[in-house]
Amino acid sequence: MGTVAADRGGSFGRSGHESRNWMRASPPGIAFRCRPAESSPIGSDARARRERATRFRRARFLAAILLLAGAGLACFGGGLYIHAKAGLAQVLLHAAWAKTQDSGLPAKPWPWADMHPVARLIAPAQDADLLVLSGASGRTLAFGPGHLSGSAIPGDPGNSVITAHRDTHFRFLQRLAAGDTLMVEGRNGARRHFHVLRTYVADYRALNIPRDTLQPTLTLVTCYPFDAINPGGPLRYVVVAEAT
Amino acid sequence: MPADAPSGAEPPSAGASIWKSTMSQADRIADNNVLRGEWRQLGRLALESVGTGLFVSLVLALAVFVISFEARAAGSDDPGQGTLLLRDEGGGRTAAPLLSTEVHMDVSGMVARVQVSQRFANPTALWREGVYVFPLPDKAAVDHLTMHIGERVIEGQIKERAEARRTYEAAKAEGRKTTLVEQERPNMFTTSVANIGPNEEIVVALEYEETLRYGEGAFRLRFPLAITPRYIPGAAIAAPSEGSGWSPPTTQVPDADRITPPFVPSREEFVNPVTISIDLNAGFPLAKVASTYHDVDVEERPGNRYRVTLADGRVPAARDFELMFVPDVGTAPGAALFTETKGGKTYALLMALPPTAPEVSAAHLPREITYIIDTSGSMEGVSIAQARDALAMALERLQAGDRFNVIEFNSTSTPLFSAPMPVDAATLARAKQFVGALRARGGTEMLPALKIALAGQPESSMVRQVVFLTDGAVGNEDEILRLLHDKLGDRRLFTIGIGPSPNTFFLTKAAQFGRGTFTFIGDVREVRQKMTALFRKLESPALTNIAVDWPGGVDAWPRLVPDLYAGEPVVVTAQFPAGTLQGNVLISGTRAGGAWQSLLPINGGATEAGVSVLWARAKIDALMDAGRQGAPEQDIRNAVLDVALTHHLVSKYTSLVAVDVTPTKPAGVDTLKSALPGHVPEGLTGFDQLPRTATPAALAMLVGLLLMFAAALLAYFNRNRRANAPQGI
Repeated sequence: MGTVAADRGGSFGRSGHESRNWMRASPPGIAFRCRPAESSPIGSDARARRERATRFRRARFLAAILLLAGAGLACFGGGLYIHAKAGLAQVLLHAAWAKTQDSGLPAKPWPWADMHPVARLIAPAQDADLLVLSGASGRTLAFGPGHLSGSAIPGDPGNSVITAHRDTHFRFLQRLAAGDTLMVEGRNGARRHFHVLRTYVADYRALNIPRDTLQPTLTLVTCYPFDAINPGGPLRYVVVAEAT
Repeated sequence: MPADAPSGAEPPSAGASIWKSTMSQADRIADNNVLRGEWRQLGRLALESVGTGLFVSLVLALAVFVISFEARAAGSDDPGQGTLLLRDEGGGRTAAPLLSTEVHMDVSGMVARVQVSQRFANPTALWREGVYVFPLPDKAAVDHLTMHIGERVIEGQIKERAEARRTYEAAKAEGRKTTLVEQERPNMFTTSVANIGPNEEIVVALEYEETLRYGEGAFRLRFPLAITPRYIPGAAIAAPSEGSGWSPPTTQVPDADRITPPFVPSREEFVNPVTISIDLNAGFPLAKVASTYHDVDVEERPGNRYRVTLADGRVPAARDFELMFVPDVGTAPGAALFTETKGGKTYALLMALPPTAPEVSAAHLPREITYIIDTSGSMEGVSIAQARDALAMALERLQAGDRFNVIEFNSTSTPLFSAPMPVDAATLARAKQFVGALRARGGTEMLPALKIALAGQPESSMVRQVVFLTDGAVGNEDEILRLLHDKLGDRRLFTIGIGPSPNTFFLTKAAQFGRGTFTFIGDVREVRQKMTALFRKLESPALTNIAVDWPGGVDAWPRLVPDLYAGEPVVVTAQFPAGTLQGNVLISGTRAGGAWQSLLPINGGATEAGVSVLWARAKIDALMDAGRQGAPEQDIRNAVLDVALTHHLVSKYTSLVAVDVTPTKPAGVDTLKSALPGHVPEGLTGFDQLPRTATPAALAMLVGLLLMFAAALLAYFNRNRRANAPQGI
């Protein structure tokens, strides 16, 4: 055992030594390369050329910095935009929902929208008030939780499956626990209360959400873990709530 | 002074200054040289930027990789890409046993012998039990099971169901390797394999016998590859549950926990890759050999033999396979006889094709036709599109004088009209609008829809037909069949199986009980052709009152031959007492008032192994039908047990079980049980269409921050450099 440890220590030390040598070797190299410039005679022509070269060099740096900063801003902005869109859409959707309830006809949140709100989902203790949209495509989810077409309408008998992004609308799911209350408001304004039965994490390929239940049931699904950076990943966080 | 430039200065720019100083030394070099120099500098700049860009990207990629890797590592104990993680009872996640299936079919004449080898591999260090629920053809006579452990082969024994289960559980507890094959429905079976050791694999090989289907001038052989998740009606009951399905037992489906296996989307990596090979020896020249839904390679061999394999090698078990072959014109026999002598008895399989009916009679008989369309969630996707197309075509076909109705059902039933209405422009327009607006969602409450369709008088002066479009994905098949038996009256029921993997047992049985036919539409491109064939059947008279008279002492099944439509053959099996295979068989029937009969001598039949099994299977089928029609269960059970145990057949009351001789699992080690999932049939979107539920916002913002940080660093170094550059120049 002792020998092995010593061997390891030795090799570690050697590599450290090498890297120190390399560090020491660098500065003289640069100094050498700079030397010819120092010894050059300075004429007025040469000065103009040098000035031009300096400007050129500065422009080059500026361009590189601007490019990097621009790309960074664009990326960062893109991320912010996702959150802004998610937030703003809900504001517009709430307005459309009020209109829908007044007139009894489905109102579009914005003129070119290809979906409409089907229900309002409220988690009083978690301070979440969301409008659920028809269809659960990636495009819909940018604006709000999506109702899986083919599953029951929220509040109707059967299992209603609603999905949303873990980092926007369904972030509050992590604060839901068994026994918590959820409310669903239908188009007619009637509210139905649900209580959370359980929450669990599962591989989405092994996720079996019952199609039909006797009690009106809500199944809320989002990605897991909540704080992962990578948007892929096979795990899903599932909240099951039943009508009270 | 440049010499004092900090060591942080960018080396490439120092290189550029070498070139410049050379220029200064050679003062009188031509201007175009300077120009060329600038160009070279520009080129170098381009190279540098590309280099810098590459470097930055690499660093960022590395950062992202490290971050996402950490996220994944933190999120799960995923043992590797593509491994399916199953939740176990303790709440942990374990890699599922890996499954793959090899199917080999030997088709000889009208009979197919099929071997299905299921390979269960255990990639973990635990002892495992795998439970896999899978489909087989609804007329499959499963009569053979072997369990392969390395080179060793263990034969399965037929036992009464409960006894087989006890044998399996005992062997599992003793640490022996063991396999149990049970029938849940005539077209749904369960394989349980216990004590698969760490990194071991066990191959379970099943064999079954089946008769090919003939109709529309072609022979067809189906092999179902997926189970459309079944709808389970009724209230949940607290019954002791041994199944591992997603549904609890209910009042209407007491075995729901056994027929609702877990499922995964078909677009995922295959959970059960399948290979299929077929040796085809029809016995007569063929005009065409093809597969309806999969790409296949067909290799012709001498003597009208063919070898058919999947062009893609391995396919996901996500949609039914169908082999189809068409005899050369005039070469297919009008009647065929196959025999086998076994256990002192001789068995015969007889196929006879009545002459085709004259084309649709000019005088159109007025009809009352009711279309029932399933719009439940399981139809969502390709199926509802096929059903809508088929129904639209059917509406076009209605004529003045006919009466019709359309009933849509999912969790509730919605009829278009409260009673069948005469066909006119207004009713047709309403029907088209109704059909165009159909969307699939919700449950599959079939009984109420059928009750609406079958309401009213049991007898009528009109020809009454019910056309039922569905995937048949329900768990209460027998309950619905009983209703059909009780309420159908003089109506005829035609079923249209929709989708990539419909419940063919239910659909063929319902058509049989309804004295109609079953049409399968597996692809939206087939709608026109299949519907046209169905219209021909709906509009031409059927061959009814079919009787098959055998010589005395012969036990023939089925006793009641179903009515036949254009191009369908009579297929019957018979058991002869030893040495009495002689005489004639008389087949008779009536069509549109006229009588038809045919006398066939019982000799010259080709010997074909497996005919006895087909006879036994036909007898079990007829017995089970009697049970569905109200015969006491105990009588049926005894009769089925007698046939099934004699002929080594899996049935509702008998299972095959194989047990290794010596225990291999160390004492005191637990066996972890896993229910293996199947694919949701391809194209169905009502099940697992769960979208991605994380945005790339966090990742984008992180990359953005890193890029801006890099920019800031660069700006800082640039400022330093400028500060150190020679002043006053």
